[in-house]
Amino acid sequence: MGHVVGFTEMLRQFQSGGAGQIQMQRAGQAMAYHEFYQDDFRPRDHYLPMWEHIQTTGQQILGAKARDAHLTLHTEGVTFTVYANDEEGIERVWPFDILPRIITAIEWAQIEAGLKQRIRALNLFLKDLYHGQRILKDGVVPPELIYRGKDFRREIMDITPPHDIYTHISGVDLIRDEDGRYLVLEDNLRTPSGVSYMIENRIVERRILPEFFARYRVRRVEHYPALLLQALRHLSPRGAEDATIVVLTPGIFNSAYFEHTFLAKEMGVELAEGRDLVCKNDKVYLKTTQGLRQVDVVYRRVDDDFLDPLVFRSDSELGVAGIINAWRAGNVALANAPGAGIADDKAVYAYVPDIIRYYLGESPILPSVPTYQMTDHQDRLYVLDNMEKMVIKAVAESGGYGMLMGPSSTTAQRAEFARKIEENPRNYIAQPVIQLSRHICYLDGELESRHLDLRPFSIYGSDIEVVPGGLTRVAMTKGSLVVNSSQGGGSKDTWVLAD
Amino acid sequence: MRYQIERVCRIHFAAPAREHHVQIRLAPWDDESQSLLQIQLSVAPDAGVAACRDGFGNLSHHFAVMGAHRELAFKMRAEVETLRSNPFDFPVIAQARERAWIDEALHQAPRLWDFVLHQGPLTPVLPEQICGHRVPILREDRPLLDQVQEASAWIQSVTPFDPEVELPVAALPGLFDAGRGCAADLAHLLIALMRQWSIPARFVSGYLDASYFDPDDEDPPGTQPREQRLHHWAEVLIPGGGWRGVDPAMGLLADATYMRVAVGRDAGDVQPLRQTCRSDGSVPELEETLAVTPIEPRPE
Repeated sequence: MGHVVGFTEMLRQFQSGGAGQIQMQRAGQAMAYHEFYQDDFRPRDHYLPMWEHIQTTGQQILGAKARDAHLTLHTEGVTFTVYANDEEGIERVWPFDILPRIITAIEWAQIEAGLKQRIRALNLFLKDLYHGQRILKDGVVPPELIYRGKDFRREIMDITPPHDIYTHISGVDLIRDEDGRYLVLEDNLRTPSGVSYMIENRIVERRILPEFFARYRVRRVEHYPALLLQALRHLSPRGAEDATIVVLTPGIFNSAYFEHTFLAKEMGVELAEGRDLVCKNDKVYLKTTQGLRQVDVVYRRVDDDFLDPLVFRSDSELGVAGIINAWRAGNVALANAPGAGIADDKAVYAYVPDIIRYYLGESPILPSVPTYQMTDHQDRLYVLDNMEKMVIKAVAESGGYGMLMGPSSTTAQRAEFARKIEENPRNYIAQPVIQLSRHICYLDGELESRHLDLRPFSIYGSDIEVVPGGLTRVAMTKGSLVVNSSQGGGSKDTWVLAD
Repeated sequence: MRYQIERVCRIHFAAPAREHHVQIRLAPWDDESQSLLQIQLSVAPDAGVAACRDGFGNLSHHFAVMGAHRELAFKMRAEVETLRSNPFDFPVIAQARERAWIDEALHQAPRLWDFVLHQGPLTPVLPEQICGHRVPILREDRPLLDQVQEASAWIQSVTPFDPEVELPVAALPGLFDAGRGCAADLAHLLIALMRQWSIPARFVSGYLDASYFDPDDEDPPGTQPREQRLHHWAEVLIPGGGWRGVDPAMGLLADATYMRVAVGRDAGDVQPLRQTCRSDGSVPELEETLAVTPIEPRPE
């Protein structure tokens, strides 16, 4: 059960200094770190200006602003699509909580350094895997793990992408454990989505709550498209000045189509579907009314499997025939590089600390969540005996799909997952349930605490830039630890303080 | 031995096709077992041809015809010298050290793991028995090569090679139910068995000396040679010898009469032709000819 306190009740508690009067946690369970409160139930120092403002304005004004925010997102067409049970997708207005999450400059410095370190190491890892495979020969990562990985693309062996960069855009998910430590929950290195919502959240927040911003020095996130454009230009084989860049989308039925259109518009580049591009003599061209125009960089939001029917799935109509040959010939840059997905395979995740030490000779700045490999006999037995305490994840899935949340699972669901694990152990990992940190949210006129995570976005161009902020995803259901938007999660604006 | 290989392929469309992309794997390998002396590739309608190596080291060519066309033809002419006249010609590794030799090879070249770990519909996990036939198990008291040859013979005995079978029966147990298979079927079965033994094994497509297509003794007099076509066999990593071709269809180890074109985990990785185009959706007709001709050794 999550912690629920009525708005007026909470004000009363705070004003009377009623620390400890509210039972915050189910007995016997580790206490989730609260982003907003200290242990004595007072707001943390960096939340005080915001809290004072809420106290002054009161519930009615907050309620009106929440409605304004929803209306703005609706009017602006900020939506996402949820697919469930193979049914047709349902388009929903982006769920947004008006109370921002605030990260101090000191906390952010650690996050930024940790993400840069991780992304640098994972790029070296990918380069090595697709070339000399030194890390496998040295026994740091088991070859079986890679060669059984669904996202290891032997088709691209020995191809060298421009500047040796594979993960131009990364969205690494962070959580905070019970002690408030930031941990990496998972790496998203293929086509991580959510950045448009990060920006829209900020735009709405600025519009709805300008008075909040007057009290803080918040670092900008709105320049993300400019940073991305700069990084994509940097990749251009014909030089940055002449670069023609396109965003390649699978089309309108993709759940992230809003984001594809958003980024293309913000960067001022063409949004293209596979049929809009054509390859000729190992070059990629955009079909325009003035004829063919050579493309230098493709920011592709089409999965590897569908990217090129000559190389990957031959039945794909979403990709561009010949694009891998053009990439191999060095005539086009693809962001992110095909094959990058093996580095965010959830079974590889457990080895990332070793990968960092191996390539950089450094200790990981951001720790990982302990992970049980289902290919390991002892680990598997332990997990099968303790499924109700575990989160079990399919290694190549994302968006909260293919996941069992042990504590809230039924006996039948656990039996089904046990069968799947036994059938294909390489396809699953398990992690102990971490009580994600919580934050107050304004929900239906009340201030309630909900669990959340953080997805900061990093861009690898001439250097690695971590945009100060990210997408804070909120588990909107009381007590739930599932924050994925596709599973009904919401979001918050994320403020990184300048000092 | 020297061979000239001529391969012609014609693709006919019922309605005009455009943006036609073609990727082919027809060129023989160039390595220590065979030398590719020359190769020419022509395409009609005219198109720029580019070459590259895929992730398994196979040489592939690709080209595209953008304008509307109803027929596309390409012709490859290559000259190859095969060098492995005796497939047993390699240093023998003591039987007790064979496993260590393979482990070391896997350690030095992790890419070999693909050929140990890959399982799929074409190379599935084999049960202890299939249709009453006990599947051979690896014994530690016999040299590996002997056991590989016995396994190849076992496959021939339970699923005889039938040169008339054109399309792979592929998945088990259909292969055994059919009671006969094409060369690819038999090669896949041997590969599945080798992987069960944790021995690296890969699928090979390639060309054979024309004599393999001559009539058998059992054929009536005057029987014409069979049409030459791409052949398939397996390669197994043999301690001391490296990759050695094993052909369950012919019951032979590959020698200088075998020309390797492409290798992969299974037939899916060695497809000789992949193509996409914009057309009315009807399946194009394919017409292929292959002629492998020995070349007389040049005078010293």
